Amino acid sequence: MIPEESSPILGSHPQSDRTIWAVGGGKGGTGKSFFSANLAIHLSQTGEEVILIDADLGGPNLHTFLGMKDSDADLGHFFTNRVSDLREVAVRTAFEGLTLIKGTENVLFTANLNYFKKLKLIRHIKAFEVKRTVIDIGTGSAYNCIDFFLLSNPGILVINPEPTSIENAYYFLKSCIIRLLKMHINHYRLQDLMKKVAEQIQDTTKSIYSFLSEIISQDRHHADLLYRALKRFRPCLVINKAREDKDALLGQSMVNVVQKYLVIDLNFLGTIPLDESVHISLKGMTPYIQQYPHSRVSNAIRAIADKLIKAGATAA
Amino acid sequence: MRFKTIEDMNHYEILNIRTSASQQEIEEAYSVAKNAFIQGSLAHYGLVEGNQRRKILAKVEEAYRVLSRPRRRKKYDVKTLGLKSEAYENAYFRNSMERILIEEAESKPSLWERIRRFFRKP
Repeated sequence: MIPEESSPILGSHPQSDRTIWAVGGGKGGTGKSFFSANLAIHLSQTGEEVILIDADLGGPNLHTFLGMKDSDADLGHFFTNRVSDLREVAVRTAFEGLTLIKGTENVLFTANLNYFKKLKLIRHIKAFEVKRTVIDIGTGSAYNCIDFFLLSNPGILVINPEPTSIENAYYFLKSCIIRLLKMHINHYRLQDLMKKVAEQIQDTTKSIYSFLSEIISQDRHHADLLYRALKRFRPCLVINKAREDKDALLGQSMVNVVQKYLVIDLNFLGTIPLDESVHISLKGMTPYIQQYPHSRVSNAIRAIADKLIKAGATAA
Repeated sequence: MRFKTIEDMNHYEILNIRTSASQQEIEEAYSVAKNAFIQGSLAHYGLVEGNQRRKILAKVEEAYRVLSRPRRRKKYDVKTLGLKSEAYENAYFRNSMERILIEEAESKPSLWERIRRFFRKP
């Protein structure tokens, strides 16, 4: 596999008990920011030190979910070199142990972050000496979103049980996989495979499975190498705004589909039920898990957090 | 760890279960896999086309047909996967394998069953 020092992007940490969880999913409005904020709050309430980063560069909202409208420092200061260290823009929240790095509302067009600024941000995130880092990467499948997602160990997809959300999630996953394959092909200098990857990018109707099947017939060794690289990419799945019991079955079924056609292992963490109280807490700009600590939604978030921690402990 | 095409996957891999899965785990896995590839399912929306979906669904049904019946499963495990049966694993203390072969052999159909099969339409 690509060694740590060769990839500035891929998630890797010197200590196995540190985790970075990036929350994405492709489609907007699925509840990524809501989940990121409340996951971070819950972790801090269990006594852990957490940094929450709003990397939704086109539309930061985490400060609203935490009820923190007014705060000076944000990512804009970091991107415009007003501060040299990312920790200088970290703001303490009302929750002990939880620090927020707010997305910028003052510096426009940060969504078009250039490659070097993105690498600088990733480098600083990797250098944090904090047990848990939660990153809300926002909407879409742009390179920035994908690279923040690949930085994490593991990434978390938050989707809704609707065809549009599922379609976008698969598109997002395919983009991540192609990015990963390109990194490995570049690292191992397999230039003849690069052309095939380029074809794959243009012909999105082809699945990753058919792509690997084609390579196998010509070069078994390299197909297995890329397969092992894919098997190390193990994103998690959360279905938000679930309305019925069979939405849990949907999550497990998606695991089966992804295992065969995207050739990766997806870890289904669970569902979060649709609840009007979420809308009420958002309108009131109060942290949900603090306002409704015993609701089904809060219990679901806690259960998902437990599974995430166990999955990390198993992987270590 | 090697990449396998769907055609090369065994029944356990199709249902995404271990070879030591219990009957309940097989039932649950079949329910999940069927829900994944049945027509109109959201689980494969935007990722799997019609022909591919029908092929994989046929494989899921075949996997369930074999693994849901203990005798068929045992025969599949031994003949196709080369898994040794439990009795064979414990056979080191036995004097001969003949008794195991007799125990594990499929029973011959009764006379009445053979007559029924003869007259059954193909």
